[in-house]
Amino acid sequence: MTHVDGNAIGGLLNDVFGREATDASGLCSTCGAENFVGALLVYRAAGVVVRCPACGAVLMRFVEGHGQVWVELGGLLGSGLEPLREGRVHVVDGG
Amino acid sequence: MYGPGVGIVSRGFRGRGRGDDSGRLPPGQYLTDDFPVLSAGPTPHTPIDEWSFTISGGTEPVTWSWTEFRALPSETVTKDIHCVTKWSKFDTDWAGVSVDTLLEHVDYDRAYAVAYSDGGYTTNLPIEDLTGGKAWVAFGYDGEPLEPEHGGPARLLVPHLYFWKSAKWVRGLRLLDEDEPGFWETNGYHNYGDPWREQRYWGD
Amino acid sequence: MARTAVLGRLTWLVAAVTDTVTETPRVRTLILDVPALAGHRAGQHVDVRLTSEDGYQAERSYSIASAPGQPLALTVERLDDGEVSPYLVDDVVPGDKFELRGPIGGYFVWEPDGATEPIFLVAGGSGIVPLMAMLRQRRDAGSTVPAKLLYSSRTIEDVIYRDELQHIGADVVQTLTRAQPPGWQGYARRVDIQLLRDVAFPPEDNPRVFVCGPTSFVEAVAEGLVALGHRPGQIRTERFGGT
Repeated sequence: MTHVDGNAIGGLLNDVFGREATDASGLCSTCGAENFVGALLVYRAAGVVVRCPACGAVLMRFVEGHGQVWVELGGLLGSGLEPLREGRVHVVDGG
Repeated sequence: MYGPGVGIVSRGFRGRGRGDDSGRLPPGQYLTDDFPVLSAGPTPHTPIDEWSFTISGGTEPVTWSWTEFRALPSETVTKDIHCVTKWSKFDTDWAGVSVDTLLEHVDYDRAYAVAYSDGGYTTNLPIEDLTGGKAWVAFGYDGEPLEPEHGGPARLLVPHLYFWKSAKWVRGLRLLDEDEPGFWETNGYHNYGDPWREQRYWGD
Repeated sequence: MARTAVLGRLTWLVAAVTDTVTETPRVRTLILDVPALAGHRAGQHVDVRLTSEDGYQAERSYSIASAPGQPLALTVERLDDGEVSPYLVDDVVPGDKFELRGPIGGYFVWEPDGATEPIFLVAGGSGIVPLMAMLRQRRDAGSTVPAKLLYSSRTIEDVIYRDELQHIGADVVQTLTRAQPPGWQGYARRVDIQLLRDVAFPPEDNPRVFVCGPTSFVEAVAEGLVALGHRPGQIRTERFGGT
């Protein structure tokens, strides 16, 4: 299985941010490249890993389970995306 | 895979996986004959003459080149494996060097380990879960050299825990006094990950 | 429904199959009735969720094939090792129901209203689906925005919407990569830089480009267009995975 892109997780992003997110754009905190979320690379592993198309750095991570979602967003800067303040959405600090 | 609110049943839809009565299938798992490829990033391609495996955190670091690693005693094992994404596969055949064998060469007094891989992936385990015949650094699968998409040239194999702990493209272990949650353990997946207690997520 | 519109939040809706259209031996279009679904934009997709009797759930995304204003249609290709697509292509009949969430997407979308730049659409296999929604909307709107489609398929039997594409009102260029029928006038190889140079609007025309299909196809095409001088900011991509 290869990677896809941010379009493929549009539903998950809507679940986390409460709005359409693929047309948000942000900067990679590692290399500064700016991209639309729809253009970011998406890897499906045990969870979802979103990477910068320019340098491969991890920008976001998502784990879904028991109706909850754990999300790490530290790698994507300036997107304006705010996770919903709901009990089921847990924002974690970068590991 | 049970979303909030049970979905309406779609007539005639059956998932790919199947159940099993043998008692070998942990709770919530489905049996598959495939070997799905799930990766957190692109497949690394470290040339074998640049590959090394290091255990640090003992009195001094110990490193093996590929040739040195392959000269160690190895064994073949058949194990059931369980992915947190709910698929299990029985009777998978592996060739590898037992972590016990590797640790014989290390003078250490630590309780925890972090396995780290090419590409930046990490996962943490108590050293106790890497010893006593429970873990290997595997270089072969199903009688063949381990393919890159499945973690080759070598991956960690810890079948008694969920398979995210069996780090692909492993390059070493750091031995520590304190536990250090890894890539998924810091992001919602359970710190320990026992499939028989269904320890998938934080709070399980 | 009003609450959804205000918050932008999607919920799972029930979709009922009203009709099916066999497009190719591997591809079928499902026409759906989803009463609660808001209107969509061409290029968007929906998530489909199937639940089996024992509670097992599987979820996949499918591009919307229909133009806004037309009955909702999804076009699905059966993947050999698929878990959901064989069910949708081979088993589903009118009256069957599943869950659906959408419409999803704000990046890989296009509408004729207010469009001034030409559009260059590049499809690999089932990547044609969201691009067809764009072309259908353009046709329905009577838009005169210049539009070219480059569509790569394996064989003529694999060409989805084959007849309709001849009347879609755009410049359609096809390549068949595996086998070509006698008298074939189109291209007969994988899309490469030379082919892109021959077919695409020149970079000076500043076309908006939409590329959709398997990941490796999309990336090769996007890189090729950038190498030809197209601005990366004008190229939008949707990767379907696979090879």
